[in-house]
Amino acid sequence: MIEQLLDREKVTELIERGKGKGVKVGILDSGVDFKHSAFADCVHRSFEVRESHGNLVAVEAPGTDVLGHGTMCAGVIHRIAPEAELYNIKTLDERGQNSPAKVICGIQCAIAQGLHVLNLSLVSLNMSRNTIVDMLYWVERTYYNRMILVAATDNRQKRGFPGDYSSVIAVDFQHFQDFRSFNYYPGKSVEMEAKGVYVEAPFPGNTYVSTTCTSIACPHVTGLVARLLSSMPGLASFQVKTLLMAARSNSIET
Amino acid sequence: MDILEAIERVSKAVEAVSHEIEKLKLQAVEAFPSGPHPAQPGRPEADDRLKMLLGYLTLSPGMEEDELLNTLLNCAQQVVRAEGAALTLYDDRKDVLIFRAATGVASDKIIGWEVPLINSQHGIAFRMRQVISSTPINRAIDEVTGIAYRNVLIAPLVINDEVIGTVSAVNKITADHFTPQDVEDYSGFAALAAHIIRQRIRECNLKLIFEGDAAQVPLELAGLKDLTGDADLLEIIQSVVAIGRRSPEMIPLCKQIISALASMG
Repeated sequence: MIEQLLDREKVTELIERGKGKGVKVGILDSGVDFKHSAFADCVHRSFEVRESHGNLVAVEAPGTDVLGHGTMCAGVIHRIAPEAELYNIKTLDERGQNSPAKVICGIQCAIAQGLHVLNLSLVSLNMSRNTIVDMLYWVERTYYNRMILVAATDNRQKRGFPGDYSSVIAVDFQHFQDFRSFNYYPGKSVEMEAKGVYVEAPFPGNTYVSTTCTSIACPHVTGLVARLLSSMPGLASFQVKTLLMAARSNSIET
Repeated sequence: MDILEAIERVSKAVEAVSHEIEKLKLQAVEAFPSGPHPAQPGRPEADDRLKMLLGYLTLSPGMEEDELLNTLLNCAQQVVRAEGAALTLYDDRKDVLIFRAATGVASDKIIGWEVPLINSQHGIAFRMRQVISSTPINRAIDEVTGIAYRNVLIAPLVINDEVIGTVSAVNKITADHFTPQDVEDYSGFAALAAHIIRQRIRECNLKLIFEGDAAQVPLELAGLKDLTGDADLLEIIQSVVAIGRRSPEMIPLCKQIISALASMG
């Protein structure tokens, strides 16, 4: 049992100690409202995926939130890892449209900016085989660049991309009181359950909402990963997963 | 209405329609023994198209629109023990969700109200295709209804990878918030509701086509453009319209089919 070789207390201490310092965290989403008071002390940059001459390109831009979703996710990450530098990568356009091609372009942007963790609180259930392969190529590139991808899963079907790629940490929601609590299921397509019920999160217009969904559980794991990486930089995806497994809240049947 | 009672009613209506369809199919075959026009390579013949149309209509619940939507919303309310429920449909031209039906607290005040997709919980559920529970619901909606809703549970209505609107429940009765189980249950319920609503939209468009002025048909068809998954249906409708223009003698039979179905329930 590999868990017996790991010191749970030491891993928990790593998570406690880290506040995200030196870690670049991307939020690939609807944009982020960094004017919200919740981000007053946050170091951040913003990019937008746009169409240019028939191609998608990511350019540095305001990245204004067109939905409120990205602001909620970024707010949770900032609360858990307040010293992490946040990178807003807006892939939804003004009509709120997203596509796997835009997600891929966003991942390319994350690689180019040297991000360490990328939050993807989104899921696609009906990607074509070709698109799955195209996205896999860039997910593999993130692995070799030591970037950790954390993705939400679908509420009902408990599957979907990019969460279904084995190197990505797929997250479902659970009723936990504390962000440090989470379940880990090694070998499952959805490996983690994190706090995702009644989560208070910032919303555009300098307001807050209490939200329950898988999207809001995903940034809890992203925040935990940022804390781990600030305590122990340079970890690869499988190493992060192993440490998270050691610090899990659930028991794993053998 | 009790859910079991409603389901039984729908089941009986579907059964009745199925029997009727069998009769109509026989009539249709007699009416078009070899099709009214020469078949084009790779395209179904007219009688095949009519059979497809009949097959599609077999799915009709045979209930009046208001009754169907009310039953649906009663289920939407009861499945998660809420005080109210509502249905929004997406308006592509305005890029908003419009409340088309509602039941429960202050429901009459929100029908027709437009929900912006930007910075709204309905917008998140619609755009991100995710079931979401939130508190508060939306200040603008609170102002319209004069009620401060405690919480809302919203699920997207997805058909063939196309989102057509949302179904939502407000104010959980048995707890302070909607539960994770509610979120999961609502996701399944929304999948069922989406099929029923899409079917109703199809029927409305068909009725408009058959009952309205032929010159208005292209405009009415515009309402189906959002439903890219309905390509087959659109083709059938266009074919029926084309047949009607070329062979007006067939229109009475089509009308007979529609009216026979509409009179059931």
